[in-house]
This record gives sequence, C-alpha cells and structure tokens, in this order.
Amino acid sequence: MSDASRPGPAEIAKRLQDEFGDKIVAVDLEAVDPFCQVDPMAVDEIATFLRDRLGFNYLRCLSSVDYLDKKKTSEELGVVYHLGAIPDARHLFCLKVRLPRDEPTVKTVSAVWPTADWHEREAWDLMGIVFEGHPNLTRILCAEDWEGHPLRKDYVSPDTYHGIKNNVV
Amino acid sequence: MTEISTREIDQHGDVKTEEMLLNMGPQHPSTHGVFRVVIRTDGEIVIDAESHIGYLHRCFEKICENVNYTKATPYTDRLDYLMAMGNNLGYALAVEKLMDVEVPERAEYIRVIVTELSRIASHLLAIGTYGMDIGAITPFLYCFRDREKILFILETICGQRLNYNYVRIGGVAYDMDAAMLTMVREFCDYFLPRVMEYNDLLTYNGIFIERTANVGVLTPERAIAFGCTGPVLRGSGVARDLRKDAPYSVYGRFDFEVPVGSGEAGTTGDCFDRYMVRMREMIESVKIIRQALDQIADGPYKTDKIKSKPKPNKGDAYTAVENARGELGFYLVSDGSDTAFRLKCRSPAFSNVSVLHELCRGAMVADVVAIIGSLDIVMGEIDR
Amino acid sequence: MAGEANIQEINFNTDAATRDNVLITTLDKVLNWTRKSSVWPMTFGLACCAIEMMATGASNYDIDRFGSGPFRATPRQADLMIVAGTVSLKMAPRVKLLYEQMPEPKYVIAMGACTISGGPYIKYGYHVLKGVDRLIPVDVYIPGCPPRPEALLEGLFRVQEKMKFERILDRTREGLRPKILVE
Repeated sequence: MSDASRPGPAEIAKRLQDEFGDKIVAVDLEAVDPFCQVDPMAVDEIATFLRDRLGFNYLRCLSSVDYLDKKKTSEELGVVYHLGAIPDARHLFCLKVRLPRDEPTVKTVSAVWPTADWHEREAWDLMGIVFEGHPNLTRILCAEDWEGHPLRKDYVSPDTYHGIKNNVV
Repeated sequence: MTEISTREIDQHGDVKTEEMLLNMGPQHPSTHGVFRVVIRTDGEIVIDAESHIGYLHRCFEKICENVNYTKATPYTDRLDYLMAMGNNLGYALAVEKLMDVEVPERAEYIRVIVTELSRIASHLLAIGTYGMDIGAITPFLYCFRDREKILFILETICGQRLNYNYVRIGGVAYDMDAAMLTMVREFCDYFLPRVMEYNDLLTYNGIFIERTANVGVLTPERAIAFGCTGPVLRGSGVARDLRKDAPYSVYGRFDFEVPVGSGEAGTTGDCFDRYMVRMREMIESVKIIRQALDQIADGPYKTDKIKSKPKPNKGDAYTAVENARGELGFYLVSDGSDTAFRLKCRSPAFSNVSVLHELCRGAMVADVVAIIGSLDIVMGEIDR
Repeated sequence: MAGEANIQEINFNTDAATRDNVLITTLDKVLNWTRKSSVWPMTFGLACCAIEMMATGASNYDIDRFGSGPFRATPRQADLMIVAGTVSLKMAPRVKLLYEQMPEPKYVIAMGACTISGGPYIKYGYHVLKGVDRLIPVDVYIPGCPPRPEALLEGLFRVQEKMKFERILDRTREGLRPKILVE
C-alpha cells in the first residue's frame, strides 16, 4: 500500500465510528500511538472489521495494563491491542479497552488473529483478565498451581512455594 | 500370520497403531533451553503437539515496574541473551520515544555496528546448534570459533561477553576508539570467506538437505496470522524487515537486501528456507557494518541532556526493532516518574513458537527436532 | 608356582621388569584418579549461562582437554550437574528430579549468580528460586553473570580436587556433602 492510499488514523477512527457508533468509547489521535477506546464486549467484531475491511492482518502486541496508581485515582485494568499489517509496516493502529477491577472480562480475539491465543493466556496468567470465548484459558508462564496474578500492582509475592522458601533472607 | 490377524485393521488396510503421548523437555538437549513439548503420535507420525513454556519465567515485566529506567537496562540483556545488543537498543529506543531526545549520530552508528555484530553472533549460534540437532557436530565447532571472535570484539568494546548493557538511553556506554573500529573491519574481511566454509560443511550436505527440505512448511498466511516475524516469516517468502520497512536508528542510510525463502531445496517456507535466510542475513549484516564503518564520523557518543535517572513524558508508546528472531517490541506506559508504570515486552520467539503445533502436525517424530531448531527459540525471551 | 608367588618375595629394587611396570597405590587413589579424569557433565542449560557452557565445550575453550567433553543428555549417565542459569519455581521440581536420577557419586556446580542466590532477580523475582542450594546440595559455586568459560573450567578443577579425597567405602559421602534440603 502506498502512502497516499493508506488510511490514516483519523480516517480509521471515523470509519470505526460510522460502523460501530457508541461502541467506540473514546478516540485520541494526538497520542504517540493514536488509538480508539472501545467497548470490551465488542472487541471481537471491531477486530474482525479491522482485519477484513481495513487490512490489519497482523496483531503486533497484546498488552495488559493495571492502571491502579499510588493515589488510587483509577482502579481499572486495561488491554491494549497494537495492530499492524504485513508487509506494509507503516499501516498502524491501536485499540484499548478498560475493564473493571472486580470483573475484568473482554471478548477474545484469538479467532481473529491466532497469535492472540498465547498473548491472551499470558494476560490471564499475569494480570487475571478473563477472555470470554478463549478456547484454552490456562496459565502459560507461571506454574499451573500458582496463586494470584503477579503483574497486578497489589500483588504480594508468596513466602513459600511447595515448601521451597521464596523469600529473600 | 495369526498374530497380525488378531490386530485391528483400519479402513485403508493398514495395521492400526495406538496413540502415544511423548514428552520432550523441559530438560532435553534439542529444545534449546527449558522448552517442553508434548507430542501425540500415531506410530511415528505426529498427530498433535502442545507446547508448554514458562520454565524460565523471570518476572522481567514486574521488575521493570520496580526499578528505574537505567537499572532496567541490564534486565533487557537477559531477555534474548543471544542478541543482547538488540534488546538494549529496542529498550533504549522505547524510552527515547517518550522523551524527545536527540541521540548523537556517532552513537547511532556505534549502535548499528554492535547490533549487527551481535546479530551475526546470534545467527552463528543458531546455525551451529541447528547442525547439531540434525546430527552434524563439526559446524557447531566452526561456528563457535567465529562467534568467539565477535565476542572478543564486543568484550573489548564493553567488557562483557554476553550481557553487555552497552546501548544506554541517550547513546552508548563507552566510545569506540579507532583500534576497535579497525578490529571490526578486520573481522568483516575475515568473516565473509568463512560463510562459504559453512556452506560446504552444512548447506550443501545431502543429509542436511534431506532432513530439512519439505519439512515443517509454513505458509505465509499462517505465519502472519500467528504473528511470526524475522527469519521464520521471511523464510515463508514475505519480505518484511523493520530495518528496511520502518527504519529506526540510522538503518535508512544503508543499502542492503532482505533475503527471503524461495523454496530452493523443496517448498517455500520449509526448514531449509528458514536456515538459508539466516545464512544470507549474516552476509547482509557484514554489508551494513562495512557501510557504517565508512560513514561513521567523530562526535559525542551519548547525549548530555539525560541525567542518571531519565524521566520520560507521561504517555504510552509501542516501539519495535528487528531482532535476530524478529520483531522485538516494547510497550511502555510512563506516568512521568523515573520508573516505568508498565513495560510489556513483545518477544518475537514467543509468537514464533506458538505456531509449532501447526508445523508438527503430520511430521515424523525425528522432524520435530528439526522444526524446533529451525524456529531458533530463546527461552529467556519467550518466558521473560 | 609363579602364579602363587607371595608379593613379599618380589624384590622391587632389583627386579627390573617389576620396577618398571608395577606401581603401588591405594584403591581409593586409583578410583578417584579415574573418576576425576572423566567427569561427564549433564547437558542442563537453563538460561544465559548455558551459552557460556556451550562455549566452554566448543572450539576455543575445549573442555575435552580435561576429560569433560561428553555432555550427556540423560542424568543417568552423568556425574556432574552444571546448573547453568536461572532456576524458576516451575522448573524447581524438575531440577530436583533430575538430581535424584543421577547415580552416586554425583556433584553439582552452581554456575552463575542466579543459581547461587537468585542474582539480579532476587528482590522482585516472584517466580525465581533464590539459589539452587535451597533445593539440592551444591559442591562448587561459580560467580558471574554469566561466568566466563575460564571460570567454569576453574570450577571443574575444584570439583576434581574434591574428588581426590573420596573414600570408596564411604558410599554416602557423608561429611563431604550437605543433605537435601527440601523433601
């Protein structure tokens, strides 16, 4: 895709708003990576639209974020999807969702991009985000009987694991 | 004869065999670290494979939320310990992206030189151990001979053999003097004829071709869907290289090719193609290093605007570089303090190895080793 | 008859053939000498240190000179376990199992900062074992992150030193080695 024919972030955001209306919660085109914040329960439809109609055939990165800061201004969790295209490396966009801390559920995109399978398992393992419709949502990095989700800001590291001392001293 | 008639015969008239679960790893010599794969076989044919990772989960992302940006650099070394320079570079670029800082030109050239040297060292190890997986011991010894030469140069520059912590935020840790640049140039002259030696030893070997051609074929569509990048994707015939397509640092100034697999020994996207892409990339890396040596000019090697505790602006950004295994990305969320709020590492080998079960289906058990080796996994990066 | 000759009847000083061909030593010394001259390590690379372990086995450093070339893929053929790299808690039970599968006498080298104490991951590494000696007894510690190949060779020499003082009757090697810490 040449520079002229490639839709810019503003156009992508507009097409998403036209198609999905109020499922697009917020749009920020001034950020370093321009993004749309979307409804967690509509992520899969929006992802399919982006893949099939706008050419984002490649999910670069799926990150989970815990927005709990020290002043407790926000207690939300989030998932950030960085989309790209192959071979057109400049065709980029970003989706974000915000989830409540007590019940973080978002639709899976593993059917849209199979690479999301492992990334979502990682997000579940480390951040405790539930991906609805995921075929095999199990722990991937930590041991299977691990307790808690380590990347949450309020996580406390266990003292022992199966009788092995895990504390520093 | 009576014995065989008592067994079950399937509709094709073949003797039915029972399915068997075969566990490989986490301690297995050909899984390149602590990777575990459980294979379901029917006779010698693999029906399904399931990868288990996490045996080297070292909490990189949690640590980065607890130590400041400067202190987090050494941890990036230990992600992909075969190409630590590339990790340092990716991390430094990620932080710099949120800082609006101008990195001096000499620093950028030094970064390119050391990263490409590191890439050659990484590919040498990948090729050497791949030969060993297939059953050829000698190429491993030859590859390590030349790898040691690169490690010696890098050690001269920054004092460590493996985990360098050399590319820092805002520049590099120390300057390269003229003697070091000469050393790099001499290595380039020495190295190019050696590639022919590897070809004679391994590439043109009939057994090697038999073992790798038409094995583990990955179509470009599946490669993209599974997020494969680097030599794994290029082996499938897709010319995607971030150094060329979205140049970072000073890569836009160099003239080099992006080798892609073309199925010269069998089918496009087989193990041989992935191996060949690595072999050709080493030659391209030498080309880049030579151009960088010609273009490098005197000047400062780091910016003096960055204090010991850099504080990026509030915001978030995703930065990707082309590492030896593919697209290494860092998603950095900064809250304006001297410690990252969240740093997610998108590791190329993590996505590359997630396609393994597709490649293994229908292959022979012995081919599983060839397929894993051709993906060139590094567990430090997959598990983080 | 010559075959029943009493050993005291042989004059070691005058009989030239005997003087040149017979050495007298203790059985312990012979066994320890053979054992220490062919220490077979297990291929047990975990992380970055494994790359340096490979470099030690490869052309430049050539661990084969000291009899430790054959890196065995199975613990049942190995004398020496070089724990090279970070041991995570998920890996820890496997490390213990592998150690238990090795035949006696067995030796362990803890290679690198992570295996000694958790290294750089000691403070915030929730999933990292803070030193492999919390799990299995360690004979020799090699510091470094990662240690140079020369350091690993030196560690091997230390293990060989230790082997010199083994007693064949002391099968459990009590007194030489700490007990397994975690059951």
